[in-house]
Amino acid sequence: MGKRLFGVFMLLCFLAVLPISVHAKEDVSYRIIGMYDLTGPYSGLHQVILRGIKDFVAWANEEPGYFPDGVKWDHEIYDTGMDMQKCVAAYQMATSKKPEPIITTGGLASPTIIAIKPLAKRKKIPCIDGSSARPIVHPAAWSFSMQGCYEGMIAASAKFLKDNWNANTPYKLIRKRYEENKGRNPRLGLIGWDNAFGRAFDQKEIKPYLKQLGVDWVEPEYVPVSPTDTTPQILRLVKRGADMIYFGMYPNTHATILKDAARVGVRDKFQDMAFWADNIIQIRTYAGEIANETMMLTGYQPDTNEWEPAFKKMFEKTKMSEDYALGYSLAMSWFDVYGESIRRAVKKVGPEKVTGRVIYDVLTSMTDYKCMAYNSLITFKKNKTFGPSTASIYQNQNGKIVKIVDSIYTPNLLPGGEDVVK
Amino acid sequence: MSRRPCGTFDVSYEKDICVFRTPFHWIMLVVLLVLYLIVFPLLAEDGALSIMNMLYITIIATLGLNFLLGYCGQISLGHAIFVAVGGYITGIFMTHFGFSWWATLPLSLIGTAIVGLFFGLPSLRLKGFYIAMSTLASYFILVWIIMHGGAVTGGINGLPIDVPMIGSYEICSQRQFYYLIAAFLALAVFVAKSIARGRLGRIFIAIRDDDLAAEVMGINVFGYKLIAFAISSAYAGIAGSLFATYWGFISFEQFPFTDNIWYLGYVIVGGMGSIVGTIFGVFFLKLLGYFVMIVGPMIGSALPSIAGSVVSSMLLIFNGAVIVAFLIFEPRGLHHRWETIRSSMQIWPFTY
Repeated sequence: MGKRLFGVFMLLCFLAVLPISVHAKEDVSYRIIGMYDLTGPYSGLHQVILRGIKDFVAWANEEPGYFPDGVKWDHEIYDTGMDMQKCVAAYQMATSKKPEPIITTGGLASPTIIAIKPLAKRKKIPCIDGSSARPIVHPAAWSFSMQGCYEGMIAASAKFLKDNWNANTPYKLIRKRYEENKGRNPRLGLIGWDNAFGRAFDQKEIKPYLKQLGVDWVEPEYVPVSPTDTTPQILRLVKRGADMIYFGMYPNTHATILKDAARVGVRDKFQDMAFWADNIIQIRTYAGEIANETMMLTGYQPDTNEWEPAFKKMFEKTKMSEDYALGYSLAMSWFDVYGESIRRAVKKVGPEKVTGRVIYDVLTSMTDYKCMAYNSLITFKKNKTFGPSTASIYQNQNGKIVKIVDSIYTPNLLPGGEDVVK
Repeated sequence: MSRRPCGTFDVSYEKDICVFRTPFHWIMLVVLLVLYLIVFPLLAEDGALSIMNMLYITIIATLGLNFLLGYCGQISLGHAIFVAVGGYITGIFMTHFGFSWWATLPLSLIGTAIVGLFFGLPSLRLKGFYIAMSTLASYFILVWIIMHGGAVTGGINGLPIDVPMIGSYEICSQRQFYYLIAAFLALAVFVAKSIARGRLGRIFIAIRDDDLAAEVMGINVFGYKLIAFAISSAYAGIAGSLFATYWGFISFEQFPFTDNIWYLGYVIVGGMGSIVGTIFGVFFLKLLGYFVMIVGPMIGSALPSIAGSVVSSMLLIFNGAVIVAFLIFEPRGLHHRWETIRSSMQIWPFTY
């Protein structure tokens, strides 16, 4: 009788403990909302990025040690077509489902990220995306950017130009300009898309900073997103004596302008510097030899040899052309920051209690994080929501993409930023 | 004209011009209002509410265009920018002068109507495709002004806009906005219906059908065309003001050029010169877009080989095909289809 009672008691104990043990073995899966332009103007690029993200998400879920045991992420995809209304609707739909997502993208385009910014703050879910256009990162809120601030990109290009404004510089277009204009300060120009993104580089904090640096600012020019003839704009910049021109646009337009410049015989009259998320390899593909000497200031790694071997292998498996390596590296670096913030959040509060609020807290205390497939270190603060403060510079040297500067400081020229000239 | 059961006659002029004529109309109104204002907002989640909020704002704007295009026969290729003007007037007065949203509302209405009136002036000399070109110019001129408006318009950075307040009560959740926007939509539909059924609506129709004949009958064609532009823009102004406060900011990038074409599409697909058709048109085309938003990635995941080509063009293919299909098979729009179904139901089981 006693044995039987003991047996029943043990069975009851086992049944009582069973749900706990089963529960402990259950994976915790966090919802990550990915909104992309799969049917709009950026669909070509976003399809590549999405492929990289999907590969990285699957890899991270399977790679032992990337996440703590029992922790996974679930990447939910929405197509916004770069339409702000659809992006907001997708965001609302995704965030009203349970369990609540802990991180979202913002549609991978400045206008949609701007639309998501107030919602992210209201819902307390960090939005980590690419654009550092001023309305996104200033005033700092719950929208984080993986790129340096736009004003900082211009300032860093100016610093590079100033440092190389001598007869010994190895960069032949800058050297040529120096030899022709020894007696004056170097001049920096800007040519951008005629939209909010292209015009976002020209802010009032730029001029005093450049003046202090000893670089003259040349009045910018703007071109349509799909231009047919850009010779008037480029000729005006050349006439104003721009020694270096910063291109605030993406590769197709950048290549068109270079071709137009070559057609009217002024390609060797300026050094061109590509935007952070432009693509130096695609410019080379589109413009051929005309793109020799083109530079690009970025945190991304266009050269697959710089990546972790596992990612290089993953990229090779996609059989995509080298042109898309930069988009793929962008995907991995972003999602590695997502992954790192999840790891830190799990460590801080335990897997069951990770929320958007906790992710925000760990993000805003993230200092000098070296994420995968990325050159710059990521530091976020409550009042600084763009990650990198440095960038690398790559150059197309006779068709070969070479890293010429490992790390250059990208100043914080947002209102109230530490580098703003008083 | 609305068909009524056999034996239902209007016995007075008041009865003839009223919107709701039979007890059945009143019952339907109450049922619809209950569904629209009570059932849906209580049951729907934030995602569905945000879609409806945007649909309703778009309907208000499209009702305006329907007056110009559907009733008065004037093509406008710049309607999106008048919505932007309404939003910017709200933004400027709230940001720079500290006005409440409610106070900016009449300013948006009047201000946008005046801007619309100004850009309607070429209709004195132009019509058809030529007036379309002149309204197209208004889009580019106004975008340029907004973009270079410096601190007044916020330039490329746009303007942040506060939520509306009722006393100390903030309207900020999707549900609260739903009630606000739904109330304005109901008012906008009622006013539109009243205008369309009144003297002004008939004058617009006379101008649309034959402006020369209308002039011979003593109608001041130019004056009434300007009134159509003003009414159209006033609706856009209200929609813009709601849009701005709902989004919390205003930027010219929220009004891409393609929006002008979509506004035309809503009116054409819904049925020109029909209030109900406008609502149908917006619902149909907008919901098609949201359908692609959800289904596109699913198809892309299931069939990766077509993800980069077919799926990325799905929305354009769908929308293009729908408009072509409507122009060929149902040029009078969804409204006509609705009327056909309704009259068949009313005379059922007879065929005619």
